[in-house]
Amino acid sequence: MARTRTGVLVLIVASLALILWDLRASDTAVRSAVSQVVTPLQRTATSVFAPFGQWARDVQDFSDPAARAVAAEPIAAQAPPGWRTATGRVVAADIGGERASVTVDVGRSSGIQVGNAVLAPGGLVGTVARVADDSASVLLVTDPQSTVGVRVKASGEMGVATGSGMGQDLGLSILNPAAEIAIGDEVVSLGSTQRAGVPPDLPVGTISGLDTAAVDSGRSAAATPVAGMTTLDTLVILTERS
Amino acid sequence: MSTASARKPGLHVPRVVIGSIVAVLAAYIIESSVLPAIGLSAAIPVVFAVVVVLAMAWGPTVGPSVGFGAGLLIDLTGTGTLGVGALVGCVLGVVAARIPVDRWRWSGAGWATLATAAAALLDTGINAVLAGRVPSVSLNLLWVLGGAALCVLVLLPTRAWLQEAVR
Repeated sequence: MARTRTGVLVLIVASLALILWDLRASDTAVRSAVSQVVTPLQRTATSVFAPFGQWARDVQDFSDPAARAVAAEPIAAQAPPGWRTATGRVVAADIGGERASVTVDVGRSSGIQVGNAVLAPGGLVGTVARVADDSASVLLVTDPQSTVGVRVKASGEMGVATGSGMGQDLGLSILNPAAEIAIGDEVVSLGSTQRAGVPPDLPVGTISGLDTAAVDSGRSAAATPVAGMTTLDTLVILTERS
Repeated sequence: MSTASARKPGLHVPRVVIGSIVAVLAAYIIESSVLPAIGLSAAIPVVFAVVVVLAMAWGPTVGPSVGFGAGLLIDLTGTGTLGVGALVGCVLGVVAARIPVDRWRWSGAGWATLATAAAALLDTGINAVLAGRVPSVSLNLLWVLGGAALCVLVLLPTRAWLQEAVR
């Protein structure tokens, strides 16, 4: 019994040490190595069970580059000119509690980098948070850890969209307290000048609610993310501006 | 409380190790890939349910180790802070190994469901706090609670078989 208690104590101390270590200096090497082992298993599982659900269709065909190109065509059409793209398929989801991220079956070997914009048929759905050789973790815009610089297309007002959890609207913080925004206005990405970041003017969502009380720090609103957030399968990643 | 320590006087260690790895890995693949592929939520805590059932079957020495390993797998493949899942899994293993059971195949199902759901919510909650957010209740709570109950009801009848398999 004493050995059991000692063992438990060691495991708890190890857990706490890991938490402190990760908070101070997160190392992606171990996570990347684990992804390389787990992702092929996830890909196989998705292949086998895809015919039973709508989330995934005909994964075997998807491994064919031509089939990939056909599936990606309508999504890649939204990519700004001059951007290289990679097409990935969702093989796993991490949607515990408030979390909202997915794993795609393409990674560093396809040119994907951390911070890359990820597109679905409706527009921007997330950014790459972690990359392994043949897989990448995509933080969806609905994850509370996600913040995306945005602009209200009609008025040009700038702001920040923050996730509120899967199935929830995005929280919008508009910088200008006197901003003229209305329900139904389209929200697009603000964009950055980075070669591998999020380009401007990608659809992010549509304003669905307004907080009428303007405060000194700006205006609050809610935005419905682009369609298809809960039925993601084929995704296009904007890897680099050429 | 009839503790699990009395259930397993001698465990076949290699079988326990291999069985734990296979069970946890299978549960993880089901939770992260199979459930979303067939249109169910990835919030269903299959991995934690497996930890509970293994801890109930194999006792307080195995339970925390399996929980630690399973939690670590969740940490390493997810977006949360490394160590949080391991800590929650370890404590879950300790708690689950002490759930009172009798010969009925679904004995302890209520406590097992509560422990599974609590672990899933704790994992999310602690990660939210460490990321500087206030944990909130969402529709996923229904998936967590209902999913935990379903997993426990499906897995718990294997407890007797698991005990026999490692003798």
